[in-house]
Amino acid sequence: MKNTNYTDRIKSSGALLALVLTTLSASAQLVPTPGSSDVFLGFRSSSALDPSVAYLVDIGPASQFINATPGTTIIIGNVGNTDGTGTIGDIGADLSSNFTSWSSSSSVHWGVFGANSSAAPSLYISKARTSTGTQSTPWPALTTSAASSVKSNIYSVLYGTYGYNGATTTANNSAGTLQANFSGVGSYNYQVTRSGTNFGSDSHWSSIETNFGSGVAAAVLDFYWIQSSTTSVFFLGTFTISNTGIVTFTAVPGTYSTTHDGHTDAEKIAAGVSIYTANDFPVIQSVQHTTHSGSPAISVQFQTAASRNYAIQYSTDLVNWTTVSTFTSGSPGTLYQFLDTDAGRNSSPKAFYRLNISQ
Amino acid sequence: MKLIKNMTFATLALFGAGSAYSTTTIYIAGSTGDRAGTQLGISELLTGWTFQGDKGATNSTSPSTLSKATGANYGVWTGTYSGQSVIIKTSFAGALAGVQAIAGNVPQYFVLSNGGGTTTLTDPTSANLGTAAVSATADFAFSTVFQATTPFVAGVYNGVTYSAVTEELIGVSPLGFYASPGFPTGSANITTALAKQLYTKGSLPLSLFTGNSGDNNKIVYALDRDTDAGQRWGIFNEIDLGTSGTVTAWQPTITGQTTTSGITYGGTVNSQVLWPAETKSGIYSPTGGGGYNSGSSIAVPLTAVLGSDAYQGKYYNTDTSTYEYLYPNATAGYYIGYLTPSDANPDLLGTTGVVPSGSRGVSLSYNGVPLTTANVQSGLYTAWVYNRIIEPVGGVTTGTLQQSFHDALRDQIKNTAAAASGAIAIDSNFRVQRSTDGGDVTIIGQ
Repeated sequence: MKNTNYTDRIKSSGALLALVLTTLSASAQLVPTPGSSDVFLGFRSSSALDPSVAYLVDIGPASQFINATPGTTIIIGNVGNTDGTGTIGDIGADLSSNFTSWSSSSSVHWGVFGANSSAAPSLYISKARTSTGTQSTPWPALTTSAASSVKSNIYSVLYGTYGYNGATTTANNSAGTLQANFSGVGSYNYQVTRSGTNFGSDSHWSSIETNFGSGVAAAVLDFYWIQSSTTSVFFLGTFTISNTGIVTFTAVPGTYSTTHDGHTDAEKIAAGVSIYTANDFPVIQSVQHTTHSGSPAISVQFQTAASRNYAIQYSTDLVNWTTVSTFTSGSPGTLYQFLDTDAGRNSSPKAFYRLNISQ
Repeated sequence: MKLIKNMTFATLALFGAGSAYSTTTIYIAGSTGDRAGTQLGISELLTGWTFQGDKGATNSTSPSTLSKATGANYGVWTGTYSGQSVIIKTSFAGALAGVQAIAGNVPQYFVLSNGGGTTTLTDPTSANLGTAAVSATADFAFSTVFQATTPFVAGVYNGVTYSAVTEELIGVSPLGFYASPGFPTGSANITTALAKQLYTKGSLPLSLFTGNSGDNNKIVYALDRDTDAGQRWGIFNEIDLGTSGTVTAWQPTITGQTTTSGITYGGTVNSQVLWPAETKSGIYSPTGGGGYNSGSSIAVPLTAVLGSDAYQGKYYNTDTSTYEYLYPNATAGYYIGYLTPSDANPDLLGTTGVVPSGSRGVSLSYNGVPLTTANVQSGLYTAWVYNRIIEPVGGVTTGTLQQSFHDALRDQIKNTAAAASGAIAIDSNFRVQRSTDGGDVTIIGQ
């Protein structure tokens, strides 16, 4: 067959290619290539009675958790629930198939992890609550060098040889795979059980996991965003799981302040400023007497955020407030000047202005 | 009488089809690290040969231009072997491609041309099938890594079924670490731990190499080979990174380069990014995880000087949508990459006189041991991989010209061509062995 002329050779190659393609098509479905900032659930069992595998599930880009409105929830794990890259299947069915009595087993652990591909990478990582009602102490901030090392280890689990990418889907979940445990950086089980810290010594993460020994209600994972470009750590919310395998992400509560600067994240989002920058909040930059068309006026200046509803309110006693002007800002925001030409307010010996901002 | 005449005619016709008028085509795939030795071996086995490839054309009457064949990653030979007309198509896409081709019977890209011309042929991996490329299964291949090092061991990987292959050792390729021009020669050494850290993090302060705190703001960046390169798999085992992980390496953009006698060198690195995500031989590399497709191509940036944006690590921060710097206080920077001396000597160190002194890179010792043939042969220097010829477990089909050429080429490389092309012969002077890539180096016979 090989001792042929050129034309026959091509035919021969075509036949072999067809055989390979047949092999591929006859094989099980492969998980899609993850996005470069996707977040993953990792489940494993330390029981010798369970298979020596880790169950890894791609739950979509980190941006959905970073940008979630405080207090809202994202449900993960229902068939038909779209995560932005595909449909998440039945996590509960896969857990029940592979891990004995998983929802009450102290041998079965879960964690959440991910990283982006930036030169100064961001890491997305869980930490168990020791008390379900109390936030865990956040992971420490990392330098870009340390975060790069940890990212390489996380990416090894996701994209390395025998990693998540290119693996076979489970029977119940097109975004989930069972990774055989092995001694190598590409193994999730290796990364979270090897001596030292999870995902390498540069992370300082003693463990990203919790187990289900006290039931699913007690297995609460706080979720942190470690941003190495600013050497910052942000609390994004919590992951919980039901005993049927429905995973819920709850964004930080409405009272939570990422920067602890006296303003809640919810207030900052309504005002259109960054929840990740301390003391970044709208202020009235100046209140001055001036004239307008020859008459007395009061100039009130402030920076607007994009596409927000503004109400400018007036008071003489800081108790009773009157709205004197409303408008919706454009995009992007600009330096805005309100000229109060009302004769009564201009003649008042004492006056206060404030802004009420809403989305 | 009539019957006898007919039988005589039939016998003649069969003989003619077997030898006088047919041309046998042989397909060879494999690693760029085996390229020079293989091409040299082919030229030594063929008579009246021509070669046409992606580095130009040459023929047996122009031995001074043999480098157009030994430097070609893709090409086609014509000539006579054992009295028979042959066409030999070579595709040196990488060791992993070679193993995949034989273990998985996976077709590879070869040039479409049947040779004999004088023009430079297009790289078939960047051409359309039927235009300048043809997809064909290799008769045999070459690899610088054991099959066991690759994902293509017997079993299923990424949905494709692979079988065991037969590997025969034909030489040894040492791997050296090399740094950009200006790297302090007095501290030109890299340890196993430092190499592991460099390729995990992507960059390190020079002071970790020199021990000089004054070098804290001089930055060393990692350059890598792609996942098709057997040298990559070999070196990552050697530096204890293993083969299941990913790394962090860079892709520079260089201006002001010079090309002389086929060697490109010099220039300034004005910017760099993490190596873009790519897939080679079915293996996906995420951003930062890929690299250059040959030893000669990774040599090029190792002759360039890093500009300020490069050594300060300018990058686009997707979190803030602005350009920022990893090392805003950096004052200088260097690359480190790995390649064989056969590529490094002419393309990087200027041993042929083409690369001027100002653009020459710096050869690093590994764990304090300089890269010399004697140090590899004795076991002092451990960063090396075997060259090997691989075929299906059952062998190339018995009785075919492909089989006899496989055997002849194996012996030719092993006995003469490997050493003549920059590799090290496995002879009585080579006193050590290893059973896995990056594994223990032991004395033969002990």
